[in-house]
Formats: sequence, structure tokens, C-alpha cells
Amino acid sequence: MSEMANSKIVELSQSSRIIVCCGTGGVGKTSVAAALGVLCARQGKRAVVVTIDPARRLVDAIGLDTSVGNEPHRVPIDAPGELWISMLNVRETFDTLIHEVSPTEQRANEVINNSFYNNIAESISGTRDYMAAARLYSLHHDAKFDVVIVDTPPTRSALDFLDAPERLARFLNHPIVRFLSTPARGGFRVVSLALTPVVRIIGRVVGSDALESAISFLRAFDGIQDILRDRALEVATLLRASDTSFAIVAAPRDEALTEAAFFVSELTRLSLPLQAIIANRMPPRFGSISHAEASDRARRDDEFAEAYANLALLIREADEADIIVQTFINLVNTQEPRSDAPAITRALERADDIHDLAGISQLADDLAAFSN
Amino acid sequence: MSVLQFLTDSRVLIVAGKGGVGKSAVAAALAHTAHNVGLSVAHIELDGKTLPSGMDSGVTHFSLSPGEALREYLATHGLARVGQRLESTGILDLVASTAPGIDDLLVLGKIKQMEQSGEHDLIVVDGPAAGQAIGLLKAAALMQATVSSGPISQQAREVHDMVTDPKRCRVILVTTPAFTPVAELLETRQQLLDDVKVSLGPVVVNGVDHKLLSSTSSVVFANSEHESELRAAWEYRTQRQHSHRIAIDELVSHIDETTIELPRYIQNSAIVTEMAKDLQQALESQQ
Repeated sequence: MSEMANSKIVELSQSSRIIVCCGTGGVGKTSVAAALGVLCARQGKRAVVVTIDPARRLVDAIGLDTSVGNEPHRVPIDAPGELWISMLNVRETFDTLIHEVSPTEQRANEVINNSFYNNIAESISGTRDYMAAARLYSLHHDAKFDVVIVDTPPTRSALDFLDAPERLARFLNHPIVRFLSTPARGGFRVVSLALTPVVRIIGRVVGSDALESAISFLRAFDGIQDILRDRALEVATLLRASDTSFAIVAAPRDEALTEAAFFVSELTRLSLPLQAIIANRMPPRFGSISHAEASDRARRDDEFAEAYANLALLIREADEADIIVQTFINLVNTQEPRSDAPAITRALERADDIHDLAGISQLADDLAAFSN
Repeated sequence: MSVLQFLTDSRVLIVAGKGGVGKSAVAAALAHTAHNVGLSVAHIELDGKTLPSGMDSGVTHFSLSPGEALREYLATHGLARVGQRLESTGILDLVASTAPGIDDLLVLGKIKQMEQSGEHDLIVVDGPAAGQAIGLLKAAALMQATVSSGPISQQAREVHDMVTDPKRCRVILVTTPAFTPVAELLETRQQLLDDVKVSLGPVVVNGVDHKLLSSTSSVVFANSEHESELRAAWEYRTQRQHSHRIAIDELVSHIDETTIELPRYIQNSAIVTEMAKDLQQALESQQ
């Protein structure tokens, strides 16, 4: 492995403290995140891979039988470092956070038992994003780990978690929310609150029970929110630290690359530098014979015709994939011209779906071997 | 079964599946097929993605987003003054958190409205990724539980009626012939049946390596100029087909719905047109 020690992807696995993997679904992002964890462990790092997708993908990809939650689970691998995996549990993360920032146990319980809290803790939108960021923050500060690798959900909104802390801070700062959350003084508040047109309208839309619960939640939240807001801003700073890396995982399908291009523009919009492009599921090549020659031989109709026809088909798949990936790399280069070019690497598509540790290890071999 | 009959069994078809399985292409191909057999078709896309190339111009396309639907609803229900600033002021977040699922419900409400108007014979919805599809379809049941009266509660009832009525709405699940996508499809399917009680159309298996190779024994490599390449390529292909078959067998053994297998398509070509042709053929040969 010594001759690969300088490849960019290995360098990245040595220098990063956080690696965020982005990409659309079906590109093997989870497997790639796990393989990056293996690469880090091979560098002697203690790596934890956290998936913020509700699906069991990470556990399946590694072929584990156990169920894994927030608590990191150590995966035995043959490397000087360590590989751990963790799956985001939104509710548990939120509860822990509330306990951490509440002035008293009683206040924490008041918040946690509120039905509005139950709603937001379970709802999939903004809360999941913020909790993902909060989880990343605590894993990052956990002395047991040197590097955190994040496997983001396979949707366009995957990067929402990057500005979730700021969004939450904005939300908590909003006059209406501040107004709702400040405890009543001398009984005035309740009356004036109900008279606020905005509050009345919201009540009509969502129902008065739900609104009352929201208001009492925000009341119980008073004071806690300042700490939460500060925490949110710390996470935002962390995501912009120089040892936080962003990797785009793509597969050689037209639509997967359109989506990858979308993530590139999102990173640009959020002023986050792209450090790695990983082309996964690349069809393998068999020798250096060209598609033209293989098809020509297939047409000769001799005893080898069928074998050549098969070879020609697989070569065409590989050629096509190369063109698609190259088009993408060119696009990234023109969209975001930089002096420090990102790591570019690839991993081959196996005839079987990867779902064990040996497969992940092989993927890690590919990533290290094919990197610039 | 005639294609026409299949496509008109319910007016709404929601296509769902894990990302990357070709869900959007299948939705577009379904719309295309319906258009080919003379139906007036609406194609609705929910994730803000770009349209698959090769969509037929005769298909009317709509893009709906949960956030947009909620913003519009609030603006037309008295919050017009805050209008543009709903998002930046956090009111959108406040409402979405106070009544989770309200935005998803409003999206389904719009689809229901289109269904009721009868303007289109078929409405094909390119749904969100599998996990979110459950959230979307469950929104109606959830909202019925949280909001007991008012326009939203009414909306929730009507949407719930639509998604659970097999004569009005069916869900088509899509997967690829691989271990993880099949496992996820089975999980999603169970949740859809248990928690949402939707009815399912045939399951589409996309990207199957179909083309038959003769059995390995009859293929000759020995003494050819490229013997090792030919052998390696042959073994790869055989193994790939084998693993596809195993995944499909696993799928079929766990479901009652029929399956439709679609081949691997060449990228950069008119996938939608080709897929529509194959889909039509597959539907015609179904019972």
C-alpha cells in the first residue's frame, strides 16, 4: 500500500476530522461512506460512520445482524485504527439535547412531555436535519473518535442539515416565536396573544389544541432556546472548519449525474468546498480491446462470436460510464475552478450487490487504488 | 389484461421506490404509455427534480412541493400579508411543526382536486423516495388524528378516502434486482399495506440483465486471441444475471402482486420511449 500513500483520497482520510458524503439515492453512498471509514481505520484513525437516513441501509451494507442506534457500534476490521457505525435516532438525540441544555430536570421533562415537542421530535422535516447536525457535533467532540463520516439521506434536501442550525437559530429568534415563548406577566399575555391576528389564523389552520400545545412548549422552552441557538451556531462553524471535507458520490447514470451536479451547486451556494468526487458502480473493463474490435469479431460468426458479443456489450457499458463521468468532472471543473483540485476516484460495480464487510473492504481498496 | 383497462382502473397512480431504482423513468414511461393509448395524462413530480428527457409533449406536467403547497395555503387563508415572508419569518416552520404532515396533506389535497375535476384520465405521480412516500401517504391519517375539526380535518378525510380506495388510487413500487433495494421495497410495501392501507399495482423490477446467454458449457473461449478477457467477461455476466435472478426470486416469494421486469437501458438514449414500449408489452401480457 505504500505506493498509494499519497493518493488524494488517502490524504483526505488522513487529514479530515469530518467527511460528509452527499449524493442521490442508488449510487451506493452508504457503502462508500463505510469504505471511507475503512480507509481512515487503515490510516490508524478511529472512525465513526453515522447515517442520518432512517433506513437500515448502513447495517445492511455491512451485513450486520444487530440493530444499531445512536450508540456507536464497533465493527471488527483488520486495521490499525477502528471502525464504528451509528444510526441517527432523532428522538433520542433531541431528548439528550434537551436534558443537556435544560437548567433543571423538571424543566427538561416539561419540554419532553409536551405534545408539540412530540410532534416536532417525530416529524421528518427540519428536526431530523437539526438533530443530524447536533449528533455530528457530539460525535465530533467525543474523545473516542478521530474522524466522523456522515452518510446523508438520498434526497435533494440532504444538504438541508448543513444550514439547519442557522435555520433553527433564525426560527428561535423570530419575534413571533419570542413573543409566544415569553412567559405571561400579570395575565396580560394570554389575552393579547389570542388577539394577535397571526396567532388566530394559525389556530384556525392547525386547530386550537395543537396551537395551545405549541405555545406551552415554547414557554417551557424559554431560556433553553438561547443555549440551543448558541449550540446551533457552533455546529454551523464546525461544518465550515478546514478539516471538514465534502465528498460527492455519483454513479454513471445520466440522472444520477444531474443530481450530483445539483449537489455541487448546493455546496457552492453554501460556500462549502468540494474535496472529493467518487464515481461508484463503474462497470469493470476486461482487457484493452476496443468496442469496435469486439463487435467486429462478434460479427465474424465463428466459434467465438457469442463470447465476443458479450465482451462487446460490457465494453460498451464501461465506455458509456467513462463518458458520463468525464462529462461530470469537466462540469465540476468549469463550475468551480480551483487551484486545489478535488480527489477523484472510482469503485467498480460488482456482479453481486455489496452487503458484507469483505465487499466494503474491496470498495476501500478500489477507492485508494484509483484515486488521483 | 388490456393496457387501457390497467391504466384506467384507478385515476391516480403513485410511483414509489428507493432513489436510483429508476422510479422517475418508470413514472414518465407510464405517463407516456397512457398517452400512447389515447388517454389524457397528467404527470406530477414532487421532489423538484429535472424531468427525465424524452417525456412526451402530449403529457401535461406539474411540479408540486410540500413547502410550496403550505405557503400557498397559508397565503390564501388569511396570512397573505406575511405572504412572501412566511418562510423567512419562521411561520411556515411553526405551522409545519405544530401540525406535522400538513404540507404533505396539502400536496395530496391538490392531487385529489385534480382527480375530482376529471380533467385528466390518468394522473401519474412521481412520488418521493420510498421512506418519504410512507410519510406522504400517512399524512392524511396523521392529520385526522391531530386536527379534529375545520378545513384541514375535512381535507384529511377526503384525501384518506382517496388513497385507500383501490378504484381511485394505486401505488406502483419500483426496485432494481439487487439485495438492498429489494429488502427496502419489502419493508416499504409492508408499511404501506399495514399503516396506510393503500392498494398496490404490479411491482416493477427495473434494470434486469435479461438477454439470454447460452449455457457456459457451450461457449468457447479456449485458444481465442483474447481468451482471458472473454472468460472474465463471460463469468462477470453470468454472475450478474445469476444475482439478478436471486433478487427477483426473493422479491416474488414475498409478495402477492405481479412483477414486471424491465431491461437495462443504454444511458444517453431515449430511455423513456423505450421503457414505455417495454412497459406496454409487459402490461399486455399480464393476466
